Amino acid sequence: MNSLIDVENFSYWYSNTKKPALKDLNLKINKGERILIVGPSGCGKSTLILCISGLIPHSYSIGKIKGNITVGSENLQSTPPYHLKNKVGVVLQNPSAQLFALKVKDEIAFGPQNLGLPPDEIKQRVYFALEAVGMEKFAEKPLTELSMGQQQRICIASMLAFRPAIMVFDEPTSNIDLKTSRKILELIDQISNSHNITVIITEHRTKEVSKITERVIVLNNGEIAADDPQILKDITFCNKYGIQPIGVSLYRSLKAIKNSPRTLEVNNLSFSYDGNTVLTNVSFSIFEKESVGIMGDNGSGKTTLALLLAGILKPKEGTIVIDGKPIEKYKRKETIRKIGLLLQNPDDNILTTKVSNEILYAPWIQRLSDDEKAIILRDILDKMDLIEHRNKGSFKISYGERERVALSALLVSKPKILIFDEPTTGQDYKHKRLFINLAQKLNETHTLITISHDLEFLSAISTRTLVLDNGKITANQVNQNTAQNDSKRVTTESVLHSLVEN
Amino acid sequence: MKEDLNYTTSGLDPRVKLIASFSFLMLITTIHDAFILFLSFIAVLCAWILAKLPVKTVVSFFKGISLLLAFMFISSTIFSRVMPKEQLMFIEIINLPVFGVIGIYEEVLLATIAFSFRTLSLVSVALLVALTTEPSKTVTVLRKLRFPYELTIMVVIAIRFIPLIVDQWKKLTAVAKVRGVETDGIRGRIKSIRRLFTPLIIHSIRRSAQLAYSLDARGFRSAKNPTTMEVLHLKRSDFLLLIFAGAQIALSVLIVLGVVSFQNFSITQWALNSIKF
Repeated sequence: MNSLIDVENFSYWYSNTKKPALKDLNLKINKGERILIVGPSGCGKSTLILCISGLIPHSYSIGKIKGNITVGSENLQSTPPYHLKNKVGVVLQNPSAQLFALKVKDEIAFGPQNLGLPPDEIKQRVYFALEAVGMEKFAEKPLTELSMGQQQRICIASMLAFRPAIMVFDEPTSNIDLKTSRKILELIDQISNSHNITVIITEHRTKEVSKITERVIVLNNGEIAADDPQILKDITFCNKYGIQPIGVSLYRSLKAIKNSPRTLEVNNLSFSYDGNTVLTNVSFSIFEKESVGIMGDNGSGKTTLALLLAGILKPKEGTIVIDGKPIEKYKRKETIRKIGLLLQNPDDNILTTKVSNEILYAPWIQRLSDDEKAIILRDILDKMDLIEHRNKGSFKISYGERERVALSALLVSKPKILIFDEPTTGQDYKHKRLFINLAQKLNETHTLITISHDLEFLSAISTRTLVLDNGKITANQVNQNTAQNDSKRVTTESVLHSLVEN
Repeated sequence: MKEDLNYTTSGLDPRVKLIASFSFLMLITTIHDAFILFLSFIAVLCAWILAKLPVKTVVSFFKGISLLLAFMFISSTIFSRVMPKEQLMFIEIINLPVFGVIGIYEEVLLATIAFSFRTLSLVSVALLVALTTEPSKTVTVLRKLRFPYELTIMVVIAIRFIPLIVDQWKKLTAVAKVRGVETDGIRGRIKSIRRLFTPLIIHSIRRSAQLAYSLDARGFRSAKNPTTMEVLHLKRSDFLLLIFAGAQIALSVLIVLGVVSFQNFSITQWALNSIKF
């Protein structure tokens, strides 16, 4: 049988680089196959996605290509993906960055309009695509009113309007909570079945995605390291390449915190934006050197809570007390010595274009002398293992490194409490583990509050978990693995699971 | 910032609305009589009421424009110096020792009143069209009027990016705050604008690079003649409005040619004279 996609001796170099991002790649993909591509950050996954979807060279054309990719019998380098007989649709990372129209139906109609199709045909395709993703009632809605999961559905629909034979997904669930991402994966499965679409997915959440894929390809340094559906069960292999193996959790044992003074107290906290209630009567307290996880789905009010705790938003009702004093009584200079907040996306935490300037932002604001700044910089670079990057550009370093830089910029103010808002979004297994180790180290000197929808990660990082659901705290649970009993580790995750399901 | 307005859509074809508002624009630029311009403004207000625009929008619009108009009105009545070809009426307000006599020329005052009402009518007609037309329909119209496709998409993206940029700004302010930047108060705000402007531009550029991939993946500029999903058909009410627009254009042409003149029966002049005596 002839394969649908044929990658032959394919190499790719980005402009101004000597090392190829993809090296002599050979890959045959058959019609109807569903493939999961995994590998550590920088392994070439995203580049492969861009090449197979034709965005390289039809959108990004300044790199160098050797070899061929053919789809059906047509060469992808000479024909754009949307003009092929077997069309290729691509859904990139971060749905909100891909949508641009004002209304849902206009977003989906954009593709067929570009192909110059007649109005009736466009309308038919728009409603076909909306029906396929179960969003037919949302045709007239503005895109700004949609949730993350709904936006992802619209991204998928806007590609389905091309009637593609192949669909490529680059981390389709990286910004989405577990419940929603399961639904998105179900949807991909269903579309693939009912329209006979070949699916290629890259994803760090191997456990969930491998349920719907039948072939697993491991990429490393631009080469195929394995092409075996059973490979994710091979724990030594997975650890070598920094991929999350199936059936192993990020468990580590933690010490429960007892009898330490309360450092943060939240009493009857309520908050609303433009008349929409986000938090209602939230009360909890956190002890010194404790590591607390706050879990909740997208839109449950987690980020608002973080902004309130860091003193960026002001509470409408209720109080936040840090070390016996209400937060609004502190001056800004004093607040940053008490509490530091790392926002969700490390990119959003970057204010300057150079690593050393980024780290020294707070000392610069406080007008410390150059000598003082040099000492602070040396200490923090050493502690965070960033010395080799000190003179690099803030956006030239990897995602994980950028997060460490943003964290360093907080640590220079020596805050007692650190809040992490979704610190592992879009990060691979290796970085997740590195972050857990880093957090463990920081926990010796700091109180940690970690906000996440990743159950496994939370159960590995926190000694206690608060569950936030629709702006209310619905559970406040000491984690089982603090009992130092290995047999109970399954319970922690499953207990958290059951909390979420309810 | 409010992310989206609630559009009360009228049944009229956006193209016709555009033509009608342009013909209105033509007509009121040819009329110089303050009272007739006042009447034209009242007429636009009636259209506002018919369109059932939300009161909130109307009030906030007048709040915004009244300050600007008041400033224009005061500055032009006081500081305009007309070189009189013939004798102009001068109304003395105050006689100051150093500055001399400060007062208003009656003609200048009338011209300013006329100008204010003209501006008000123009802006409210533009707002009426904008608020009663769906943005996506506007795109279709621009395409039908042979407006370049790339520019139309740019307009849409610009509208869509405003809330995203506001959101990004909020995030950057939060990051600056956690690093000890004081952003409250006027001084703090000005300082934070200076500090956060560059990062905002950098983040926006990065974001637009992502969007570019998405547009290319969907075949942007792949066909020479991209089509539109919406098809516009003219209805009876559209033809009525077209006739009305035609009448307006005809009238303004007649005024310019001097066939019709409001000079002989200027109501404003008559009203002023009757006040004086």
